[in-house]
Amino acid sequence: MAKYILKRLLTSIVVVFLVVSIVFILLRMMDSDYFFTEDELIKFTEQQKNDKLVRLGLLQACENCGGTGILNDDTECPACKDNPGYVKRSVFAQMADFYASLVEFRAFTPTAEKHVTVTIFDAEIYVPKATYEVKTGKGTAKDKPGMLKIEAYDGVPTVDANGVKAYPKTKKTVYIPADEDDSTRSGAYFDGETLYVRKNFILLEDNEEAPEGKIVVEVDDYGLTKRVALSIAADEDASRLIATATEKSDLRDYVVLEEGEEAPEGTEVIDADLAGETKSVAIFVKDGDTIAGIGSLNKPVKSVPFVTYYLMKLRGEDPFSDIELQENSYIRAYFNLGESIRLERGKYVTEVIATKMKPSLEIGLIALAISLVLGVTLGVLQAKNHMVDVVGTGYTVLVNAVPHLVIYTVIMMLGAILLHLPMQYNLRHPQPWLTKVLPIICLSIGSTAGYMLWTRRYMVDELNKDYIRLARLKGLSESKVMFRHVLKNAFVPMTQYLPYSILLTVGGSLLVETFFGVPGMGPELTKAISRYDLNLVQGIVMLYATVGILGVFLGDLLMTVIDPRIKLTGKEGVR
Amino acid sequence: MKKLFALLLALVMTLSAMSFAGAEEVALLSNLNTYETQARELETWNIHYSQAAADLNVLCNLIDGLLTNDNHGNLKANAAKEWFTDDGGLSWTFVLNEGMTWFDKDGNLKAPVVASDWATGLEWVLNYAKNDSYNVSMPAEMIVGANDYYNYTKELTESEGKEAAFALDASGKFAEMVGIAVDDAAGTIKYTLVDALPYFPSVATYNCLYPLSAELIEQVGVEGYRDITWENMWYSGAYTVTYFENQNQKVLTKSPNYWNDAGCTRFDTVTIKMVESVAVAYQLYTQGELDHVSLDQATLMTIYEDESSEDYAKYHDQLVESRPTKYSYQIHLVYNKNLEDGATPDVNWNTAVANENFRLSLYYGLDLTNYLARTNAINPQSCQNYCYTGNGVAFTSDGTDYTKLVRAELGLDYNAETYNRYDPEKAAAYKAAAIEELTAKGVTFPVQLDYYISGSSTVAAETAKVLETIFADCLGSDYVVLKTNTYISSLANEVRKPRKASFFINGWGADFADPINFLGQETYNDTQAYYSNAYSNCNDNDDPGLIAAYEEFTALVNEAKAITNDMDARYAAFAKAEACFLGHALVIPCSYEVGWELTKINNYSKVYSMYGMQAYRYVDWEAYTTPYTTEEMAEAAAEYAAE
Repeated sequence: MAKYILKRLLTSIVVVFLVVSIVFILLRMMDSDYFFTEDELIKFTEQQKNDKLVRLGLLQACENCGGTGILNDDTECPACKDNPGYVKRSVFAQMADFYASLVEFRAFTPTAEKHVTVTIFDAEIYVPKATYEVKTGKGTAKDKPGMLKIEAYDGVPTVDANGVKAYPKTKKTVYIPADEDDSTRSGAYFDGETLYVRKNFILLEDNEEAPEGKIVVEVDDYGLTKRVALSIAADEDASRLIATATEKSDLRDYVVLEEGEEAPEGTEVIDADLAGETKSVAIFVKDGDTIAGIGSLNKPVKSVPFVTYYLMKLRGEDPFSDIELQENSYIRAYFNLGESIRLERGKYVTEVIATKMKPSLEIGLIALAISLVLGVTLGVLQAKNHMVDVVGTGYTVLVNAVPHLVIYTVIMMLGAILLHLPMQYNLRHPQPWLTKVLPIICLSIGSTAGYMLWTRRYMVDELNKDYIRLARLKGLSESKVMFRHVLKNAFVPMTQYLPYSILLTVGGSLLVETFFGVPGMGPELTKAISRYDLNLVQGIVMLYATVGILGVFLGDLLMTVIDPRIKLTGKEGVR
Repeated sequence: MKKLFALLLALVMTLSAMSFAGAEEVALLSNLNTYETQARELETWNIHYSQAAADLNVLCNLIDGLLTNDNHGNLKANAAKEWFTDDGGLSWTFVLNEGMTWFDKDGNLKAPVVASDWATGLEWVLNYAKNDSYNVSMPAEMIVGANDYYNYTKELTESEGKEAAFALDASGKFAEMVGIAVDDAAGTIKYTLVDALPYFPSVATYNCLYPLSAELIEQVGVEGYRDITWENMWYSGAYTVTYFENQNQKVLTKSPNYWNDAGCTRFDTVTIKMVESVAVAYQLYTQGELDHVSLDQATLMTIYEDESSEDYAKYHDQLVESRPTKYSYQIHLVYNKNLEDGATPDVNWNTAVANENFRLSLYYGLDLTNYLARTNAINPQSCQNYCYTGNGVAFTSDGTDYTKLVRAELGLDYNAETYNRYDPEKAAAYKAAAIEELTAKGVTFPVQLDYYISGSSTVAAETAKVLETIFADCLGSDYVVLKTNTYISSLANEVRKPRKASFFINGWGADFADPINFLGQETYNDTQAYYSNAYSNCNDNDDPGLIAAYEEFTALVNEAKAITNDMDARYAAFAKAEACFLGHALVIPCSYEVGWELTKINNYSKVYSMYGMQAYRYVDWEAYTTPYTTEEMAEAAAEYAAE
């Protein structure tokens, strides 16, 4: 089974790349002038247009004529006849660039964050432990029943004038009794010879009682005495509780202040190291924040595309040779599918898709759930009851016969006039969920009819089978026959499409989303094609291909779970 | 008792009438709800990087340019409080207002707006690596050294990489090469031009001359500014963006720190909703979710004449004719056309269209009334257009619209009832002469005209049918036959470049206030003349008669262009050139876009600019909570005309 799944996944990856590559080649067969609007075509000179296409990697200077369009013997260069000086860049070179840009490695240094990291003090409680064992030789916690292995700093953490906490560089491995269920063991440290373990605690309001099993102690939190509740193990000394200060790193909005500039309201001003220069920075604080420390500010350094990285490695080169890596630099990998070049220029395709996917998923999943419940229920009733069948069939025929846009218009008007529902999706509406009702209804209408149709059909098929007659002859009640046998078996073929339908909701609906102004995935592909946003097209195609293949695969798996007679491998029941 | 009862009844009626009148009291609209169709979603927040009306219609509200327009189309002070030339238009100086600031979307002050910001903005536009050549054309043609600087940055990018060009700013090489001098202390910006350009102040309304704070670039970096968003951009205009959901809606909110708060009226918020179509917008209007809506043909006719409909009862008295858009539509004849294969020359058409009598038979022989009715079914003659240059682009010193001079030259004026250019007698004479001359040249009749429309547009298909009928009825199907073809996605790539159409009907909207912006697109053997090179292909037809006509027109344009010290003389000379152009029927003027709408906004209070990008500034608009009636808008129009 595992081998089969692996094989299917690998095949799926190959198919996705194949589909994406075919779409890539097809897109490049379109004239690159599709990139420009008529306005741009009017205002750009040929040269400016070509320059832009060169920068997009779609054109390149002609090697035959050296960019002039004329060969040495004064004859016209055949390679760039249509566009003197320029030729279309090889599709394969473009494809290599595209795949190279799918994943990026970026090097960061500690000063590479865009936000200021501030230090906010909070109370933290340490408890000295009497029982522990410092690891000296080989062995693991498994060798010491009832003991837990932790790492403790070998020395007391220090806090500098800015409130930045520094930990000792060395750690010791220690075993402690595994009897506490609520201790936070990270940050444990040795004070000379005593081990201090950080404890979780609950801050109590005035007169609030501690939960059962916990003791109440008072701690000093920067001049304020607070009551906290915590668990104390038998070997912990409650009389020597230490309340200390520690930092929580947080990313906050900030304003770098010029000399003499006043800080905006709601900020606290501190000195910060901004790329080597100390400046006053006003940090926007939340209620109760006490800011005492500061990190630094810079922008991400440089990036090296994934494929380039490996090609350079293969050649024995250092891909980061031109990047200044400082101490503690780290590297992150980003799967970003390149940048949108037109519709949302500068944004990563993954970012665009993630933003657009959210509303589509939201209304799509609700609509799917509604249509599944309604469709299956009504399909079952159709199979059982003649009147419901007549009405249900009428509904199915109507939904399939009338153009969807007409149905949507009717729903929009009825919803707006009779129910006073908002006609357009609008997150700024006082009740935003109300604006989602009409798109959800429209999305559900078609798929409900589909589920009704197929449920009824499979139910009728099953009802005519011998085992059902036998079940009835055996005297099983009609409801048992219907739900335990008929529906269960009738539902099996439909389950195959369920994962696909769920996954497909990420793609949204072109018609519904356009009609109701839902800012989702539905219209994105057609828009991206019409605006020649190549990277976005590739990204969406990759998503759809993945969703399609994964949906079918999961459908197959689900069927085997629901009906164990179905096998994915082997000679019998191979699908 | 009866008297008392009557008195009480009268009192009650009076009071109820008063209270009714109170309920109907009209209030000023403080939150405007407007719309755009989804195809016109904004694609960039970088005002320097855009050439698309969909972007600029929003961005012109967020950053103030040097000048803007008033509701009559006159230039109006904006960031610059005054502007002048000391040398007959060879250089122009703009003096900035004091107290202008840059702020973020929440209104937090970022920096003062200074004269250097205009130098930084121009450097950005001209820097090949930074702005990808967007908006370069106009400054490169007009400002001293601008083209050289653009080429310098291009060479620098190619030789040393884009980082080298990114490092450039408004000092150093730019200050040395480009004709712009700024004085932050005095708040002055002086542009030195390649030639005396009396219309240059109108260029100052356009985004190629918009400001940019060097501090912002310092903060976000060059690439950060190129991809700037509404969330991190700096604003200096009447509104900031407080909400944006792509393809759904954007909300512009009155800037709290706007320098000209006391000098203008603004809405508290302007919500721009993205809708699927005008039909959906109409539904939103009926539900009170929009404050104006343009009407499509079907809805318009229902409201206009279907007395049984609810829409008629509700909206008939509120129908308002829109003001013309800035686009002047023309029938652009193609002088070097290919057959349907896009490669073989269509000799029959190319020979016919080069013949002046043939062109004049089309010019005088087409009664376009039914075609205009496709845009304006109620009042088609509102869409008449007999000139190439658009109305309202340029005015003589006594306030006369330049196009009136052209019409006087042509002896043609607008008529509310009939399509005045249509002259069947003249057309018949030209047709007879054309048949005789062209038959001798081997042209076979009927001459086929290939016209292309988008295959997915049913509206275009219906309009094309109307056009086919006009050609057949007016000129006879033994003479010309209009064949409608379709393209899939791009007119430019599928039709224009392979030269498959006999003519195009398209509109040109000016970028600045001078007839050269129209006529300069049509001159002969001029690489900068866009329509000559990309549409009519007149340079590729070797008919001597055609060349002579084009050369005559080009000479007249150049003569007019050279007049820079006397605007009236300049416009008179341009009018002569345009009359020559149209007299030879090198292009056939076609229409304006004048539709119908339902609105709560006084259309005559809005910025009315027939050029540039200021028409969508939501400043000084007069709008009410109740819709205008037809009568009220007519009164507003009358008041406007009397101003």
